Amino acid sequence: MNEGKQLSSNEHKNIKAYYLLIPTVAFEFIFFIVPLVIVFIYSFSQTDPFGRIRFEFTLSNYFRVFTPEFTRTMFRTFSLATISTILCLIVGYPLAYYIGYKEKKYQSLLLMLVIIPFWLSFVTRTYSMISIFSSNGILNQVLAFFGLIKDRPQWLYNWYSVVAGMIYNYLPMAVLPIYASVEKLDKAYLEAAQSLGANKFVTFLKVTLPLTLPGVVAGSILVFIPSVGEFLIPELLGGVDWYMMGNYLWMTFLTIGNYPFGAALSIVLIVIVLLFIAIYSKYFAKEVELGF
Amino acid sequence: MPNRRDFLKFGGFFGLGALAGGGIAYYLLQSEISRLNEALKETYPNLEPELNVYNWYDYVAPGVFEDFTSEFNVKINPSYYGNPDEMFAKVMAGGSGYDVVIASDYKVGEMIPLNLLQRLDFEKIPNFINISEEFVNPLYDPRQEYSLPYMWGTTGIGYNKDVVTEEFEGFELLFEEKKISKYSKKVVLVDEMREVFAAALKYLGYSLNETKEERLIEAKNLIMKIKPHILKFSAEQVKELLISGDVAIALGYSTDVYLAAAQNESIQYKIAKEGGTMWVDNFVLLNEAKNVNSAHKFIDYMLRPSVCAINSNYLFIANPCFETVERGYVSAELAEDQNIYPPEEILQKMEIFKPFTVEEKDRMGQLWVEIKA
Repeated sequence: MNEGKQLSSNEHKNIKAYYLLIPTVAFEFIFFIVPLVIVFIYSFSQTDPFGRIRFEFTLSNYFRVFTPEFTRTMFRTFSLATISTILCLIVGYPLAYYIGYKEKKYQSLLLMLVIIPFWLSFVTRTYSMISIFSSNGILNQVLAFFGLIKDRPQWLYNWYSVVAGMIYNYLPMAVLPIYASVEKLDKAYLEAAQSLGANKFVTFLKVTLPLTLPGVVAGSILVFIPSVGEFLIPELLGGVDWYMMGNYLWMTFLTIGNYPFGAALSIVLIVIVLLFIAIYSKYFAKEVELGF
Repeated sequence: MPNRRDFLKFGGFFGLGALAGGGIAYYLLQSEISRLNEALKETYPNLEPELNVYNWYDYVAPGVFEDFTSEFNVKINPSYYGNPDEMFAKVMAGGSGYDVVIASDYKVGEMIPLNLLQRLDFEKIPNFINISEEFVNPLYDPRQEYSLPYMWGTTGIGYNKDVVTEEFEGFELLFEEKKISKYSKKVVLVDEMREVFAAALKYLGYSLNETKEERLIEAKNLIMKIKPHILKFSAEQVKELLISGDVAIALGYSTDVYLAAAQNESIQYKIAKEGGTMWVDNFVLLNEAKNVNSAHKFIDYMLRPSVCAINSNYLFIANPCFETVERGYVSAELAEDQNIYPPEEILQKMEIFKPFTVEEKDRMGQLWVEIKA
């Protein structure tokens, strides 16, 4: 019988601590769970000719998701997200490592430099790339000034410019978590490894990298997930081959106004991303305790 | 010689005097303003003090809103959209807080059956009589109950005359492989599904409101064929790409091309000989509008021939107000431009978008995805 049981003062404190979670839970409920449920319900409904939702159960929205265009767009989206993530890690890791090993007083300055671009609006940052790389842009003017080019090449509106834009915008997402784990790394381990005869490369491979892996995994997920939903960077910096899932969703909801089909597309996208993350974290979970 | 003390005393008195004078002047001015405001309230007793207007970005000449405010003492809070789909989604979601929205023709047609709009009270809009006959009872509002036209223009070809030196008459420049391939990757098409299909359908000799599947597929194949030569589809960058010289040919709104031409004199605009889209932006009043009287006053004010013309002259765009050209309100440069005020035989070939149902949009949308993906 538990009824008569007195709660210890410690347990009292714990229960009170849970009250602190109320704002978080309420927020998550209203802005995450409820919209997700609405999207889920919409995906099984229909519209009238003017775009109003009719709640009559149908699976037809799901049946028409899997077209060759969907597959192509999905493949393109995941390729872009994967490439961007890998490049962000390749660029971000050495940077985070460098900052993590600097003296404390320089660390905050360097981190500041990583974060400063984030103070600008996302659209402004992306437009600034256009003004640098467009055919009349700063880069071509400088190159022409030094006589390095004759006519003005077009750097933008292709895959490279989209990938460059992605790296530029998402790099801090990779750098910050990696920096956090580099900074936490106990430098005594490195001395131990070296005193046991490991050279610098082996030390990095066997000690530093595994111990900073949680940061790498967190960083890669932080870059990957928003990349999958990205549509503005491909739209502004891409050419005719930029069509991503985000653009497809935008068009289905806003241009066509078919909310049920858009909802079905979103649910399929969410499921695929979750599967992707699940496989990814299962693979890494052996080495890293991430709590996924 | 005045000593320092006298000087300070003098200065002090002078300063105090100036202050007092200024104060009195300020008081008189304020009381005059409030008296005028009172008088204004008596003249227009029903006007609400504020009005929320939702409009395309940069789509009213500077000073026009301010003049309205000083005349009627109604403050305008403008909000902007860059794309009609964005506007539609926001209004459809409800609770937008807007009173007057400036909406494209077919969007008006889509908003009416959704009960988003309220009927206009034409007794409160005497300037309604200024609307030219051909804009009355349009396709998208057949009994002219919900909307009144603001400005109108066309969709056509913008080109850089330094690069495109050959003669062309219409959409063959875009859709003939032989011609377009000379400007490969120097072409931008406006990122509007219906506009791109409209150009292809017109080139094929069909109506731009065609919904027959096989004709739409024909149009799709035509667009697919020239896709390798297109630099990009863009909603917002047409103007910039023309100005910077990144593209030599654009399928775009006349407004965008004219604004580009204002900054780069090599840019020219041409309505295709096949015709094309004639679009009309309209004033509509939302059902949920709170400032209904001010909204009517605002629409009435915007339809004054003089105000119509100020906006036209600033935006390089034609207005639907009667005789603004004949009476010389619109600048001669604009009035004589056949691509802004096209002659009758070209106007005959222009069409206004018919509002599509979701099903019709979906059918075209599926083909549009096939083009893009």
